[in-house]
Amino acid sequence: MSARRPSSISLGTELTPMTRTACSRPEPSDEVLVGRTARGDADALNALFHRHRALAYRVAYRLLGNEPDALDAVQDGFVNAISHLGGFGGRSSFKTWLLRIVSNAALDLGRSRRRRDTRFGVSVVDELNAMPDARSDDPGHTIHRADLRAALTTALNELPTAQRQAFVLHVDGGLTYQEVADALGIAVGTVMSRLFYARQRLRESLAPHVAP
Amino acid sequence: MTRPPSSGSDDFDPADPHHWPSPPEPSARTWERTRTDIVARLPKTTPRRRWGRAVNVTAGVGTLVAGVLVAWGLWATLTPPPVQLTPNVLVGIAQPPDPLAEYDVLPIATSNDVMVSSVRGGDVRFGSISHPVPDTMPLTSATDVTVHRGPVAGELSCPEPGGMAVYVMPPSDK
Repeated sequence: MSARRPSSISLGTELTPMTRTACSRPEPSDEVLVGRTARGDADALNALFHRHRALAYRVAYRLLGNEPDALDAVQDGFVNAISHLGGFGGRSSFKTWLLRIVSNAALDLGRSRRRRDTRFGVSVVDELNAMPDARSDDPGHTIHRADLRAALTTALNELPTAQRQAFVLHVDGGLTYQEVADALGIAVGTVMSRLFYARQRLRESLAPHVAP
Repeated sequence: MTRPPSSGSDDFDPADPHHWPSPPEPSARTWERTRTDIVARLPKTTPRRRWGRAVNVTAGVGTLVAGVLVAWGLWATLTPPPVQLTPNVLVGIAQPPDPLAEYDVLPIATSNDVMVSSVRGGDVRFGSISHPVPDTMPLTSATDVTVHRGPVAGELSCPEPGGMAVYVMPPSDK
């Protein structure tokens, strides 16, 4: 018994190609990847790095103000986090734990770089912030954005360290108040207070950059 | 709660940091170099270190157990065996030795053996109503005692003039 072709389809009709939906496996959770990394799985380490590198870099950049230092802080943070996975008890998420380590590494790096720059009378941050972004096509827009970034870095550096870290973890790290509190080991009310005062001071510092 | 990355400075507002210009994104080559540096800085012997830690923990526990066993053995060796306590049975209460055990039992004088002839100082009422000598009896002093020469055994003698003659039995051979 032969199968009959449906008569409603004419020979000239262009058939829509069947969309192939790949049955992708669900991404392993951070907990799974952390466990595999602790057992020496290089692929799991790469997956963790690719998953969290952007956020870690963003936090480090806000605290340091330039790309090379931020990448160094990311590198230090990942190395410290992976080397001390035994101390990660799972009380918070891996992201919260990693961002805390990266932010601490960035603050340490910033302190050491400031000492070095003061010794040589050169501010690398200022130099790097003054450099235009080579990946942009609009030079005017690029310079304006670089100015803004420099102004933000300066304003953030004027904040007390505790306020700066809480602010960056919340705004750039995307952590909730509770996650920031867990990361820094402080109360949620303290986080809210630090964020309030940080915003107040930033508003004052950045007021000249706001268009009327 | 991950904030969407901002795109530029056109919507910059210091009161809303979520719209701040994003940091410049490192190139793929830079990321790869960072990843390579991270892998290079990580200890190569992570699994071995885990094994080494397990071995150390096992050795530590074994040493501890061995130490406890040795200490227990020494304690058992040096400690004297416990005294076997047997239950005491009360057989009886030991009596003190009788000092008169070697002597004959002295008969206690009864009323048949005592004749009260007279009591100085008044009437005497016999019976259980009152004691015949209720007050404290004074001890005999030397003025009340007259010592006579003792009678000679085997003969009748009169200790007092007009008194009753007394015959003193000679000592027996026993």
